Amino acid sequence: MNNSGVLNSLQLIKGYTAWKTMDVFSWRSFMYLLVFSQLITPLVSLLVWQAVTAQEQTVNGWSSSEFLVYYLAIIMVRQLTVSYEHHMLGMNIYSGEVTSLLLKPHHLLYSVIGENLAVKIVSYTVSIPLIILLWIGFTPTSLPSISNIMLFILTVVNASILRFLWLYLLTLTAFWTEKTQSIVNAGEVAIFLIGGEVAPLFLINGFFGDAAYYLPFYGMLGFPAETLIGTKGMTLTSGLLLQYGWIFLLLLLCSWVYRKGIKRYSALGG
Amino acid sequence: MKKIALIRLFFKTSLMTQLPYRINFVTQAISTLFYFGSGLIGLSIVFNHTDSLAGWTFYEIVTLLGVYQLVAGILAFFVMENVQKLPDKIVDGNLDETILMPENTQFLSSFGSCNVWAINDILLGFTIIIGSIFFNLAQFTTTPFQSIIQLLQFFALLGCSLVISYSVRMWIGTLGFWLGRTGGGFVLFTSIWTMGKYPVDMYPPFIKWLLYTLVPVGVVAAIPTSVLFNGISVIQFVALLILTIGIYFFTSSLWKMGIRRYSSATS
Repeated sequence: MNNSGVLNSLQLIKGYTAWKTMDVFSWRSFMYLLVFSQLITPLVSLLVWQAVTAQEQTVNGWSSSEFLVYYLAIIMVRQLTVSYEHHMLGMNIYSGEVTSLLLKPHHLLYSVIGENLAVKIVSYTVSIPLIILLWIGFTPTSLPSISNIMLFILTVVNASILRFLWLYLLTLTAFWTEKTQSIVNAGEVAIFLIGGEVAPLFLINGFFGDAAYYLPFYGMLGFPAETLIGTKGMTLTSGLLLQYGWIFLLLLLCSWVYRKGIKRYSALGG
Repeated sequence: MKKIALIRLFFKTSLMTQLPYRINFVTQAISTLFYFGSGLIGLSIVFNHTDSLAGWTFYEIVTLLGVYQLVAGILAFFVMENVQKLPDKIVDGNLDETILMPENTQFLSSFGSCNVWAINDILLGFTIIIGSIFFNLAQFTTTPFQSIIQLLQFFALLGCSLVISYSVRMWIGTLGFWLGRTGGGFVLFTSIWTMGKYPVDMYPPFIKWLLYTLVPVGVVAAIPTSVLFNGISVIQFVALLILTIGIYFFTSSLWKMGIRRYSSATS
């Protein structure tokens, strides 16, 4: 951001992450409840499709075992890309506490990224054992290959960045409206509705389903999940292109909205 | 009568504090429609590939969504906000002023501020239910006598639904007397509660059991809806009424036990 600061970007993020991790860890039990509640909606979708494919039925060639692996992957992506820091940021903008961050000689984003990573670190301490237990408990017949797991890690990191940027963008509306929380929640519903959680995208017929492949939500949820289990609605290259393209676009949008918003921001005292 | 007058007063004051923010009505309506619409889209994707889900047709599940929405809306309108504040009130000693008032403490802790914009959920749920009754008018007119009984049973069971879903939330709040801040329990409970948007018969035995007992959303949403379409035997109906009365009395005795444990150091 500027060169007068003593710390470089990486050190800043490391510092913020360590500090915020301690903070989030102090209310970890609530975090663990959230991990559990994040499990419910993909589980419901899984059970819906299991009910549809009961008695050996298939849906577009998918039997209940394919749905099982797919939704285990979706649960993984959802848990690994977890993001709650926008709640804090939104409230800080309302209360004016964001002022203290603006006074620091670096961009506000460092602290938000640190908080995002802190939330992930604390939530992983429960969600990763939970994911392992789910894979053991449901014992799917086909397991992902090593190369798919490596590709999954790459795509899920991209998905995390995408989800972070998308929610950050929506949170920035806090400079204009006091309904940010509803907007962010609606944004999350969009991820799950047309990102591949309600149904794998190839089951959505018509224009709506075709269009969903070009939206960022598929890159946040469905694409990494399909990469893991090896059935793709999209080739790896075009999927990565989708992810990086949207990361680039959202970055541009975020910095534009941030610059507009910060001009509107005002707080008294300090 | 005094209680009803009080509820009216609570409603009036809440309405007055909310009326300056009329635009919230629009945003709330949009968000209600958005969530309902996304539920419908999800459901229609599933029903593109099947004719029934655990024996339920598309229209029956939409009606189920309507019932779910109506119950959730009425609850959010009158009690939800107050009950969710209970654990913190208990721990912070803010229950003093409630206890000092010349009215039943459980009543005062359950009612108080109304979330007036939840009227959107109530209207939507009600519209869906009325719509689905009209949609099935043919079925209702062929056996008019039985249908009227089914309708009456349906509305009676809706009343039970309200009592039961209020009671379970009240238990979480009341447990604050023993366990401290139980606010997290609401998060957990609410997220499991959303499973009731689908027919409970669809779930594996353990979850089904859970949704009929500890998180009784199956009793609250699925049973009334199925009564509307298929009726219910007299024994089951009476059993549900007795169960509801039992739950209600358990709630108030739990509250009385809790309030005896309450102590506050200062005022």
